[in-house]
Amino acid sequence: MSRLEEERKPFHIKILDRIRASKLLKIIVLLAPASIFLAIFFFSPFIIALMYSFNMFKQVVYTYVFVPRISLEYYIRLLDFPGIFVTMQRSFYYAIVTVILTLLLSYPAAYYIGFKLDPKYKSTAVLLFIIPFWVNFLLRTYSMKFVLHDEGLVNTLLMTLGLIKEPIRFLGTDLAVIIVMAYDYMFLMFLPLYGVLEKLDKELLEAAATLGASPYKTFLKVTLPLSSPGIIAGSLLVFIPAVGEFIIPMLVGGVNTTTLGTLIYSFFITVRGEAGWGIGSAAGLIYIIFIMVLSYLYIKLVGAEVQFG
Amino acid sequence: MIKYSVELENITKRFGQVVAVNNVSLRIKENEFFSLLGPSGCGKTTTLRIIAGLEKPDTGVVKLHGQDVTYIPTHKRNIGMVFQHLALFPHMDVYENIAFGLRMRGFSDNDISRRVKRMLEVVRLPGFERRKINQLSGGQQQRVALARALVMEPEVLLLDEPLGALDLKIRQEMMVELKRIQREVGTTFVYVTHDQNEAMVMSDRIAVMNEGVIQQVDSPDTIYMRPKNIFVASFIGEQINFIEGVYKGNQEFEAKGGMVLRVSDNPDAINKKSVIAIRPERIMIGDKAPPRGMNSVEGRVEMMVFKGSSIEYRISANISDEIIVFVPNISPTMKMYKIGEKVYLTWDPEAGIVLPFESKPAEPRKIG
Amino acid sequence: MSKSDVILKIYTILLLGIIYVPIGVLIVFSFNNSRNRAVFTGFTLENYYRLLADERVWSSFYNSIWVAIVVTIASVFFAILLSYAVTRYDFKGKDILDMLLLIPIIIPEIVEALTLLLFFIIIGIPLSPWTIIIGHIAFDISFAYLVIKARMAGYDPQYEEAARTLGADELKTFFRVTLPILLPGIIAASLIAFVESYDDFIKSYFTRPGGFSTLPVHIWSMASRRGVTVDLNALATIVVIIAIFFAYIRIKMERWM
Repeated sequence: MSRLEEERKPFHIKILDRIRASKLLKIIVLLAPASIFLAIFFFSPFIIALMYSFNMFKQVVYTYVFVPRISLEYYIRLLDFPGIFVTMQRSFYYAIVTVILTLLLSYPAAYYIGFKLDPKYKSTAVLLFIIPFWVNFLLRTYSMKFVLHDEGLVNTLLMTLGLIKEPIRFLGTDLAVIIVMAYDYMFLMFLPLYGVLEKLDKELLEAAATLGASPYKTFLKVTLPLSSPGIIAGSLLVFIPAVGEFIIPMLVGGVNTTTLGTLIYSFFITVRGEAGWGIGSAAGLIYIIFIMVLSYLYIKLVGAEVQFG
Repeated sequence: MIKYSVELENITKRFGQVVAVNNVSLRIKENEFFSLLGPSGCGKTTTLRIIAGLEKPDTGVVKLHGQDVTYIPTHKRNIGMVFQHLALFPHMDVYENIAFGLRMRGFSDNDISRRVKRMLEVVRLPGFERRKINQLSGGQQQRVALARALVMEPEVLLLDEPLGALDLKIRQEMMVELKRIQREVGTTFVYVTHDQNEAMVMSDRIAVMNEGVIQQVDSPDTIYMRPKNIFVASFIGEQINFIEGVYKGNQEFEAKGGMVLRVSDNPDAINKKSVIAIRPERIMIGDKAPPRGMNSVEGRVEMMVFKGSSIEYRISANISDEIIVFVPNISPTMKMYKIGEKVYLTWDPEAGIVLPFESKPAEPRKIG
Repeated sequence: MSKSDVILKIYTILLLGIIYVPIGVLIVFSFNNSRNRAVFTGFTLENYYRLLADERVWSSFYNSIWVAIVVTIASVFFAILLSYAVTRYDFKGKDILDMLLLIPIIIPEIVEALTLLLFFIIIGIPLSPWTIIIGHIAFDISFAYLVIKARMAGYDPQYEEAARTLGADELKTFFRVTLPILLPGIIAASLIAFVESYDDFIKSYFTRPGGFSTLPVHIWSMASRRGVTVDLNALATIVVIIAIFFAYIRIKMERWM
């Protein structure tokens, strides 16, 4: 085809050729559907919630209208809410204890599977570790409720062995919430730990030994520091959902186990109405900002490589 | 009148600031085995991709069989292409890979099966129809890629360093095969490679490229023996000696230190700073001064390496710190010179090619 | 093997055993013929008969499935387009896009669900199964994107160029070459997207219309009653078996990929 023929092409064909030839247009066509969807149904709800938390919507009969005002009313009411600080404190306490517990429980196993175990059994062992966590979260939690019940397996076992006379009351206590959180979230700690320990170079430990370090010293000075990216990643992966957890406190906790999560839940669902949603939004946004800051610090600290199971 | 399969006229292609192809014009004859040879990043692959239509030139015209195809998309050009990583479709077997082009052009099932069968015979893989791609060896994959590209009987077959991933033995075998297949199907082959050995063995003509510019287009022997500039001289062949000086005309070259050497004529270099390029195998070595009429230089052996089929000497002389000489190993009783020994180097005036001191020599080259 | 290694080994085996205990107990007691939670008094299938006769279980199961299918198709479609753009083209803001697409995974689901609920209320969209579907797609895009992008990054664009030189236009190239080669990645992403939606409780719970429940929502309504009920055990057993089935397919997929 000569350039003359190119000139004589019909107009609409030229437009199509232009789209075909333009990289930018192709990119836009590819990105648009998901971007528009997420902008409307993921990101704009946060903006709506943000506006709502600043009292920028007013209910008129059954509809909501935008009012150009900014008020901190809901934030103040959130801070005035009776027991709010105890609840926050409790949420952090649960989350931190859960992080420590999952770390202590899964590190030895991750170390053994990732570092000591014959490579041909590694993937099977990891699989065995993860399979229970593929079971629905609610059911996993419920199964723990079943086990921790006054007449559940744990108490029955302890009483049969004669270690206790009266059943221990787990359900409704902090202990139950923490045990169940540790159980539910352990795999989130295990996977990144296994990830770093599996890649650990055996020669480094041998080098430490030739330099006169005892196995204990080697672990402390070589293994542990080298696995710190996994520890940080795992801690973050456990901490973020744990600090806002509401299902576990509601299923195995009681009146004294309200957390940030159950609080947000009850503002939205139990209190409802303008005030409930407003205060709930305020609490939710504070929670999100807190998590964003944590994630940002993590990326700064360790790099953007987040490991997923 | 000579018919041309591919004609490039003043092709230029930029990627951002980089000029990948700089005003390239080429004419590739029908049924020719034509190679584009050059170091990586010299623009040879871009040139090939422009012929294929996978890249659009910024300026210039591409013609296939005399027809301007500059604005025709790849899938409407009648070409075949063998890719660097072969790009055999992993989800199809051998038969379906070869049949792909025929299916795209709506051939009947009977036609397809007949042509695929014939093509498999041409590449000597009969009976391989239902093999999976990952069950084939490197050489066999190569043959399938060739069959897939040739089954449409394209006007021109483009090959982008297809042998790079193979080990030496299979590569040598495939070179012979490629040449045989080219003769059998009678198609124009345009072959891109950085390996001069491949280009030398197979090509009718070679275009040596560097930094987006064509340096020389000639037959392999001419390129080797009559390089047009310092780049080509140093890029082609195992080694070459350069002796700096000024060409005085009348086949006389004044080297550093005032010594006059007899060389072959190059009118372009008269009274310019120049070099003489001499291949190491064209220099003879002896312990007595040769008769007059030959170029003769006195030197001292600095290094000697026994390489089996030849002996390599490195000689220091007043015209150059290091002159490399290859002496063929012709007899068990031949004299071998020791380090420090005084020797005389001689060569025929025709062996010294005068080149103007313009282009840079090639970077240290990869061997093999 | 040193002494400390033996201790580590025993610990690991114990831990691997213990994490199966709660689910194992749940399953065993689903066959118990009394409501006793600690002692197995006898084998029965009665819990299962009762469960399978329950209309609400069937309807919520059915809802979970069709919701998950719609969610999977939509989010995988979005993810394919996104991954294609990101792996094939260079453009400004690509890194930011990558980060933004991680947010739906990082953000705690309860906040995500409640802001979405608020959004529907403010905008005036009545809750329906479709509001659940929208909520699920919003996080499933990210999961599907991560998997498909990884697959596409390992995909050689030369396949497409080869198809073009063999006479295929853009459309034929996409359907005959690109799509089939990327199929294993797409299937894996679909599986993950499906399970994430099918298993989701929080978003379904908050954005569902009254009277509509998915399987996890139904489980919640049973599990959140005071005390424990063995009724749930039978359902749990079935759900666990389905989960193990999915896990099995997932492992098979990984081997195949």
